[in-house]
Amino acid sequence: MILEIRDLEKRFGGLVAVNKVSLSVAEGTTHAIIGPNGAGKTTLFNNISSIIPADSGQVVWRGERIERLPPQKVSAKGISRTFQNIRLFGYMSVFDNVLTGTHNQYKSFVWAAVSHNARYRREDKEGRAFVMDILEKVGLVDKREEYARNLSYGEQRKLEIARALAARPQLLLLDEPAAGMNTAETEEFDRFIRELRREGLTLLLIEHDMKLVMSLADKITVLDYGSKIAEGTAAEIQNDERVIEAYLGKRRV
Amino acid sequence: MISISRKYRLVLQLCVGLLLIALPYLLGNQYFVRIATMIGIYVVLASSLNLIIGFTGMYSLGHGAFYGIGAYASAILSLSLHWPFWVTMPLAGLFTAMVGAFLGLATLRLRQTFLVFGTLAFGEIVRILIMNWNSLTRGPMGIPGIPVPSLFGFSFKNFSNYYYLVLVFAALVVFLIARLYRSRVGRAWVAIREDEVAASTMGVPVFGYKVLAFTISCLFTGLAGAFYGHFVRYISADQFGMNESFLILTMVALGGTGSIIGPVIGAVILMLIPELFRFLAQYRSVLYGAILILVIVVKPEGLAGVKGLFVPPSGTARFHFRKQKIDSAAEGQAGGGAA
Repeated sequence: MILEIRDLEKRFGGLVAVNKVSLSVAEGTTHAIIGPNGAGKTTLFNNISSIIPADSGQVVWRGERIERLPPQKVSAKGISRTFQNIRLFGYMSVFDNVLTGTHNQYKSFVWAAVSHNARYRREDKEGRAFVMDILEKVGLVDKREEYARNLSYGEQRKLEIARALAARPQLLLLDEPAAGMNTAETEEFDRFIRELRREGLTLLLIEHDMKLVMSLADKITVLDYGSKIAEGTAAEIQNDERVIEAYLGKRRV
Repeated sequence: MISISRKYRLVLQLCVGLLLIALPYLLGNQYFVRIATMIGIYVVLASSLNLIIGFTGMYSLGHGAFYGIGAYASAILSLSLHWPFWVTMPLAGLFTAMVGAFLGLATLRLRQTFLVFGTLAFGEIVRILIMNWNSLTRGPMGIPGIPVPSLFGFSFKNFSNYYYLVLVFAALVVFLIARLYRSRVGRAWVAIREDEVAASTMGVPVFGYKVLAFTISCLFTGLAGAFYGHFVRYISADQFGMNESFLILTMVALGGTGSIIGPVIGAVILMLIPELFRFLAQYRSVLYGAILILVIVVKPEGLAGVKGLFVPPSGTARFHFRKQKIDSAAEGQAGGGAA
């Protein structure tokens, strides 16, 4: 298991956003988390990436507990993420957004930056080439000089993924990546995710587009009111009583 | 942002460089050379404040105090220990950076609004401390007779000579800041300005980089203070008060936040205005205030800036206002159609 979550709990006052959730993500798989609005999916992501630390429970990364690490350390372990409400660096060029994603891989600090020493030149060259590769892959090369805030919604979603990929993650957390995409864009996104998976990337994904989830996910975890109510393959989830109940309500007898 | 092609930029830089070197001869008058020297010092002050405000998106309203700490540190060291300027100046810079780092460690976890007040209060504390610590700072009497620097027997007493000294210093600081801005460190700062949460998930230790920006800014500010003290040769607490902090802030806001050239432009303009409008001397503070308000309303990012100083979370007030008008117009139309 690349990531294991054990009894994770997060309360906001009286509201239990994440209620003793346990789940494990196998390396190289695509794992989807679904559930109605307010089920605690995003909070779970925030707990994993340490943006909002959990109250109790464990997050175990390759056998090592990481729930008390600050976000930048979690990122350094190889967990990268995108945000549901896109959080790009708006007044920064597309290129620099992605380049910032490489922060953890390099060591150039103040002295290297002002002296332009050998290390700085090597890292700078390497980083820029790497960023061009990623931009090529997501199709944003032509827009690299633009401010991120001037991109279209779909392009911003792509850029967020590009920035997350720049950190060379082993696990990528995607929070509703296909939200607001039309059918054609979603299909293109589906292909893109499959390509990432072929490269060996493990994916944990929150998504409301069921067609996409059913097509991509090896395993699905369903949350409702902060609790895990079901887990299994696409076929199993589709026929689960409790899942149907959570989404559609109980049948009146 | 003004964008000029690389070739023309080089030519432009060369011309400006030559002009700056020839300036004392062109001006002739020693008084004008003095103003040019002061502009150089303010270029450093505005550029270093821009590092905090423009790049990292934090606030400091205490930069007048850091300026004063640098000036006093160098003056006291050279007068009491008789160390040369070339020793006291870097020490003053390091001391100011240290004070900045401590203040940063204590206050940079505060939210923006509180940071504004924290640094403002710090500025006042420093001024009052200088005013009352008679045994060290001579209190309200100030420190006169600060020695003029010399190098291998070459004195910088002549305004033109000191002008060249400050010119080298200011050019070096702007160059260093530009290099930092375009490096991994600078990108981390801008990322923090744009979105702290996203920056931290991209691996940037937000607090550490904030303290770093504050410390480097204070280093340059302290150095500028030392250059100022040994230039005017008399310093007192009232030269480094809140007015000074706001003057530097106005320079950054007017010239442009978040760019390299912006603060330089701001410093030049705001140093020249009082000279051009001498008859308005007593209204100087009013003028600065008016300029600050004008910039915020008309062009929040300043003349050559990247991002405005006081940009509200989503859309500026005036855009909101316009949108509302459009919305209500549309509603009116719809209503009319229904009727």
